[in-house]
Amino acid sequence: MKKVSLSTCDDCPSKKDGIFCHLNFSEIEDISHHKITNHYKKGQDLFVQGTHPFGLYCISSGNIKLTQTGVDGKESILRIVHAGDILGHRSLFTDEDFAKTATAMEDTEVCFIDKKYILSVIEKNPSVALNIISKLSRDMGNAENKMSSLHQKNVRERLAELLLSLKATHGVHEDNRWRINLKLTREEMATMIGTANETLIRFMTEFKDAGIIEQEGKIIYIKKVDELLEWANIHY
Amino acid sequence: MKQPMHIELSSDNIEKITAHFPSKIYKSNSTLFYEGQIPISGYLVVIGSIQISKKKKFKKMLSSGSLVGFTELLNKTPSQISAEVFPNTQICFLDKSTILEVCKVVDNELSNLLQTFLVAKS
Repeated sequence: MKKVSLSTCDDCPSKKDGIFCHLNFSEIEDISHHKITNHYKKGQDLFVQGTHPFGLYCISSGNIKLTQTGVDGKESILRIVHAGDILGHRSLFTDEDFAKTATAMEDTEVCFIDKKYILSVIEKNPSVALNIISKLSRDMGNAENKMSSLHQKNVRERLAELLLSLKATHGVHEDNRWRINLKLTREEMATMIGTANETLIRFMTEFKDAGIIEQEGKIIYIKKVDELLEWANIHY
Repeated sequence: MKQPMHIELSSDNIEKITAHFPSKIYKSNSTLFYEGQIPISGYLVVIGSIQISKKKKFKKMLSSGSLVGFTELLNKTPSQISAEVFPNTQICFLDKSTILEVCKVVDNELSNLLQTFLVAKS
């Protein structure tokens, strides 16, 4: 029977950003031996809202969207995770069901480590726990910022903020502009800032007319970061 | 040689497994694993049913006592099938760490049972 090639954590493109970055070679080898590596095609779910978590997912490559479906059946994107990020850690420690659905946005490589094993790794290596705490803290900070934006900012400011955050996570600098290396539909972008499709399209046109962004096909380019910062009403 | 899609367990053996591994009831449809992937757990249907498909075509329904993904998980081989669970189905999850822990014990009833699954499907 066909065997899957065993990619090791040591070769992982996201090793330097991952939770195991401080472990030594033999510890990494042990995890590589135990973990399960899978490829998910665009649109395939890693897990579904309401199901039970029984391990930790480490994103090796690709982008994954975390969505929540409301009582009206509407889907909102809460977060996009990429290489080096982990998934399932919050539900794992609280022993609650997944509150979100994780779906691959493109072909993605994801490693899975079961709960019992990851807890034993944490017990032996406090650096792994610290790295998870660091990721949780960052996630919490982002969630707080998003919540205050939804309450305090208008749609123009929220859209500018979203473009800046996509630049930080998926931006590639080329030819004096920033290319957002992530294909999002208008609908997906609208749910990320809590607005209607039509409103988002109107503001995107305004940003383009002001020369702040450009679009080639589905790819967005940011041309004027300073102006975008002003429009977002944030200064960092 | 053609591999069987699943292992059938008697009600006695279902009891032995569920006494040692956690079970959960699914509230909504969910894919347990996709064709070509290594399952991240062994899945035993306790109550209800799961749908097996291959190349996006329906193959069969499996009900109580069916264990899928077990050998693929331990051998790290990709599954030849996709498995989807339906709402109100109770699934028992056989995680790799616990399986390996149980199998280390020599001459234990559960350990012997799990080892027969490996032989039965290989």
